[in-house]
Parts: sequence; structure tokens; C-alpha cells
Amino acid sequence: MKLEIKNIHKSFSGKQILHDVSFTVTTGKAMGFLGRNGAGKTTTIRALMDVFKADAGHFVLDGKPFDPRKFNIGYLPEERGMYAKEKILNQLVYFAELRGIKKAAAKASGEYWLKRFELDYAKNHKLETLSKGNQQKVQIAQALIGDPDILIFDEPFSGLDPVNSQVLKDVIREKIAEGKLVIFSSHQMTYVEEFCDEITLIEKGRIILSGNLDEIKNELGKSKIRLKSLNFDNGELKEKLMHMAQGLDISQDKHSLIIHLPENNNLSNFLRQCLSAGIDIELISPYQPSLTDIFIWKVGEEHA
Amino acid sequence: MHNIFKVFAFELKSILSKKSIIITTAIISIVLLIATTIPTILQMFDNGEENPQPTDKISLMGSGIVIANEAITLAELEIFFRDITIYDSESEVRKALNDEKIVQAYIITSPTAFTTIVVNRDLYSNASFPIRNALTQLQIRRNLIELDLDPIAVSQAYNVNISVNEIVIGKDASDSFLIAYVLMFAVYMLVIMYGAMVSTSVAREKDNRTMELLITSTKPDALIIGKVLANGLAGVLQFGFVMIIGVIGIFVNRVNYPGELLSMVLGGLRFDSLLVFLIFTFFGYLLYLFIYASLGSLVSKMEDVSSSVAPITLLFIAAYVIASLGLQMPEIMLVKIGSYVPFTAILAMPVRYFLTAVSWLELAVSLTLMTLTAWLFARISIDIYRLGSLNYGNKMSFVKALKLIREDKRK
Repeated sequence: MKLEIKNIHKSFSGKQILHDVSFTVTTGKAMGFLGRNGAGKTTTIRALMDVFKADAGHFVLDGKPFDPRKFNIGYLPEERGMYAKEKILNQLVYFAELRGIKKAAAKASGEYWLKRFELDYAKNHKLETLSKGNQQKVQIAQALIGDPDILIFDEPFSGLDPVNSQVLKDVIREKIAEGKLVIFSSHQMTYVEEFCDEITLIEKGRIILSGNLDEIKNELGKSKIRLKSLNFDNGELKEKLMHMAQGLDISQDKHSLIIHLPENNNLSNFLRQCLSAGIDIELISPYQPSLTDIFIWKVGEEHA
Repeated sequence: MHNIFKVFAFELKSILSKKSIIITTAIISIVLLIATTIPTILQMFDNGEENPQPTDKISLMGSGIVIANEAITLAELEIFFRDITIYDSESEVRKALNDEKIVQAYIITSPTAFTTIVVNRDLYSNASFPIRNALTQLQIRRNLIELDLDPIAVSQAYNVNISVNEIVIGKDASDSFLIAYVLMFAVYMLVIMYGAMVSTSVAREKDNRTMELLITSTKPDALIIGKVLANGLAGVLQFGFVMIIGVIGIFVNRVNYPGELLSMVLGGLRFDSLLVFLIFTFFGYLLYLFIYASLGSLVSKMEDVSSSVAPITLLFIAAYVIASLGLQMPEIMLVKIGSYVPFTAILAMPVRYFLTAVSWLELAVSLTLMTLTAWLFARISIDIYRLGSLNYGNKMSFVKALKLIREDKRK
């Protein structure tokens, strides 16, 4: 399946929220949909799910107009809640029925996921009797009921302990492998990097980056290298390099210096220069930015 | 359409299984059953005791008398009163008042003058009446004797019994008053309780973010309609159950009810009056529930619900006040106008119809206004709910929400 979000515009009370938002999601690859708070992620998702109509643009699935009512979409919103005083299985079935799943199927699926999340003992308990982490698992279960074709997870790991996080990771990997269409959003970039082959970055209602994550990393990491010395600390090394070669753009992280080589220089040449300058090399490698770096750079560019 | 029913079924089951609903229904039913059984209980106690001798004398228990200037004799007082306590002076009787041994004191200064001293006087106090009546009777007697007239003969001449037969061809307000009051009060409680319940339910869904799952699972229209119908029916079931318990209690104990009381209870039970009551209650109840639900959607925090629904609650209280006036004076202009304005007609028109003549034309006009208003406000409420369910932040006013909806429709 290929879901295309095409040229979506949306405004509220005269204020434009989404400006020509376009990106594509395909099955078998999770899409990391990233953005700062208030960037327009939730508005895009709500427009996709037909909570309200976009002012312009289309949602297209495999070349045909996308009607969310015809699909089972499992949605886990970032700000989420369920009925505290209702029995867990009852409300899981209720939410599933509202999405068009038959009662018997919803019940069977609800019981399966509660068992999978080791909460089957609590199926007839009220939600408020569970701990916060277990309540989160129930919320995740409601998104998975009925084997949805499309899964949208927004901060799914929030509130989960490491053991439960691992359970959820296994579920997400399973769904990706099953060929489901998965849209994943989180501010914890390590999770996004772990699951997502594709990313789309939205800022102030505009898509500022979209594509394959590895390709983006390679592109943004081009002409950059990591360097660490045995006989100089990072500060001294930076000074040495500044004297050694003109036009070097040097930054650093906790691991090493990050050097942006100018166009008139290359890795081999630079290595020779370092050795000539008496620098004993501990580490030299091509640099790949982390998703956090990419996020900060790109969003920073938008604000510049 | 399907989802309206799913929401309705879920909400109704949720409300009816709440402990607070079950317990309050049980308590009110038990209290009502006991209340309707009181005549039977009193009858049982009366049957076990000797009937006390009837007496025309009024008891002056709790009162103190000072006879000054030999204005009157104790024997004369004993013609009219029993349990008489005489004090020697005003100061003594004032002390007894201050010590709360008595609640009122009479200082009789002459055959035609006396002073009443009470600790507190309420609006309906008639503390002076018994003594005034007694002194009047005594003075008339003296005047007749002075005129050489026989007081007994004069009293017999005054003792005329006129037989009266009243026929009411329209409505007898005395028959319908009690039933009109009970039904009016029941509808008042129904709207206040279940209006608050539906607005709180909506606000809670926004507060704890359940709304985020709901609006992405189904259309907001299904949510509000299902919720309003569920709360509406739950209220009717709860109040209906309590009413049935009351009716059963009255029916089982009816033989022990005084005839006048039974006439007051049953006299107003006319099919047409009950039909008018049911129709106006149905539309008015839905009108208010829709508005309450939409106001609940305009807040994001539970603590803002009460301020959001305050205006509509005040409006309904005004409807109650107008209808209460109608119980006493169903023909006054305020009540007549109130029986046409849909927000007040829910109570005012049934009260008017129970107690006085209302033409079919008046009913038809009022009902048409009521149904159109209920439909219009249901539509507006659905639009407001749709808007409110997506908005978080500060409480939005009803007027601002209407403006936003109008702008949205223009787009």
C-alpha cells in the first residue's frame, strides 16, 4: 500500500496551520513523522483521519482517494485517555466497535492483546485500578485491536518501563514485517532511528525534510569526518587544526571533533596534514549525523 | 446512525451501573414508600389508643397571661382556653420569655385591650388572634346584656347553616395543584441533575483526553446525540422508577388516606393533562440536554464546567420560578408569556394546562415554537460540540463558538 499526502492546506480562524504538506508512506517501512510541539503533526493526522476536512489537497491510497472510514486505522494519540471507571475489555470493545469492528471480533482481539501485554487478569477491572504504565499498555492495545491496516503511533513509549518498551518494540517490528502502514512519531529520536526507514520533518506547518533516513544521513554527513587524537584533547586538537589548515568548520560532540572538510580538501589529504602536524590519531571516520542533530539543524535553519 | 446507537448503549449502561445512581434511586424510593405509608402507620397507632374527648377550647401551652386591673376573670378565660398559665406581673412574664419557658405572653389591661409580647415573629404569625377573639366574644356578650338582649338567643340567630354545592365544568385548580407541583418539581430536578451529568461527562472526556480517541473513531454528531439520548433516557428511567414506587405506595395505602387528600392526588390525573406534560417535557428536556452537552464541550478542564453551564442553569431556574408563580396564579401575564417561550414553556405550559383552561390554539402555537426551538438548538449544539471537541485551552464562550461556526460555514 502506498499512502500519499498531497498538498494539504488547513487553516483555523484565518490562521494557516498546514502549508502544502506532502509526503508518502508505504507498507513495510515505518515513517517517522517528526516535528516540534505545535508544528502541525496532530493537525495533519486529524485531517488524514477525516476528523475535519483539509482546505485543499488530497489523501490518496494506491492511486485512489483515501476514505479513512473504509479502513481500520489504529491510532494512538500523544495526549490520550480512556474511561477511568469503565471495565477495560468493555471499553476496548466499545472503541473498536466505533471504528466499525464487529463486537465478537473486537472482544477476541481485545482479549488477545490484553494477554499479550500480560493484562488479561484485569480485563474486567476498571482502568483506574491499573498503574500508569499498565494503563498505557491498555491504550496501545486499543490501537491494535482488529488488526488495523494503518497504524499511527504518537509517543507510544511514553510512560513505559524498559521491559514494556521492549514488548512494544517487538509489536511494532512485527507490524512492520506484516506489511502494515506504520506512521511513528516520537521526540525520543533513538526510537525513531530504531524503527523508521523513512522520515518526514514538519515545522510551522511545512515539510522541511522527507525521505529515506540513511540517504539523508549520508547527504548531511557528506564531507564531514570524526577525529580524535591520542596526544591532544579536543580543545587543543581544535586549535592545532585551525592553525594547520584554513577554512575548516570544526564542531564537537561528546565523542569527538566533527570536521567539515572544505571542497578543496579530501580525507586522504587531511590525514596526511594531521600526521605531519604530529597528531597521533585515535579515531578518524566518516561522520553520520544522528537524527537529533538532523532535527536540530533543520529546524534551526527554518528559524534562521 | 449505527454509531449513535453504539454510543447510546454504552453511555446508558455506564450511567445506570453507577453506584451513585443506584444508591440514590434506592434511597429516594424507600423514603417515598415510607412517606406514602404514613397514613396507614398513623391509622395503626390511632386504633390502639382511646380517642381523646373532642374539645373546642384552645390550648395556651407555651403562653403566659397577665391579667392587669382585673380586666377579665380566669373563669371567663376558661370558657375559651385550657392549659392557662397566669403570671402576676409583666416583669415576671418577660423573665419567663427570656428564660424560654414560654414563647408568647399576653398582658390584658382592659376588657378591650391587651398587649402581646413574642420572642420572634414570623411572616404568618397570628399570635394575637386567640386572645383578640376571646375578648371580642366576651365584649359582645356584655354589650348584648347591656342592651337587654339574650346572648344565647342572639348566638342562635347567628347560627345559620347555608348548604353549598359547587360544580366545576372546567378545571379545578385545587384538585390539580398537588399533581402539578409534584410533576413540575420532578422535571426541575431531572433537568438540573441530568443536564449537569451530561455536561460533566463531556468535559471529563476532554479533560482526560478520551476525546482524542473518540473523535478519531467516530463523528462528533454520533457522540453528542448518543450521549444526550442516553442521559435523557437514564433520567426518565430513574425518575419514572421513583414515581412508580410513589404510585404503588399511594395505591396500596389509599384506604387510609383522607378523602380530600386522595381527591387532590387523583383529581388532577387526566389523560390530556398528562399528555401535555409528557410532550412539553420531552422536547424541553432534549432542548436543555443538548445545550448542556454543547456547553460541556467548550471547556477543557472539569473545574470550568460549572461556570460554563451557569447561564443555562439560571435560565432554567427562572423557568421554575415562573412555573411556581403559575401554581398560585396561572392566569397572570408573566405565566402566560412564559408558557410560549420554549425555555420556560417546558414547565409553565403544563402547569397552566393542569390548573386552568388553555385553548388548543395556544397549545399548538406553544408546541410548535417548542419543537422548532428544540430542533434548532439541537443543530447548534451539535455544531458547537464538533468545534469544542477539537479545541483545548481556555474556556470558550457560547457566543464566540457561534461566531466561529458561522465563519466556518461561510468558508
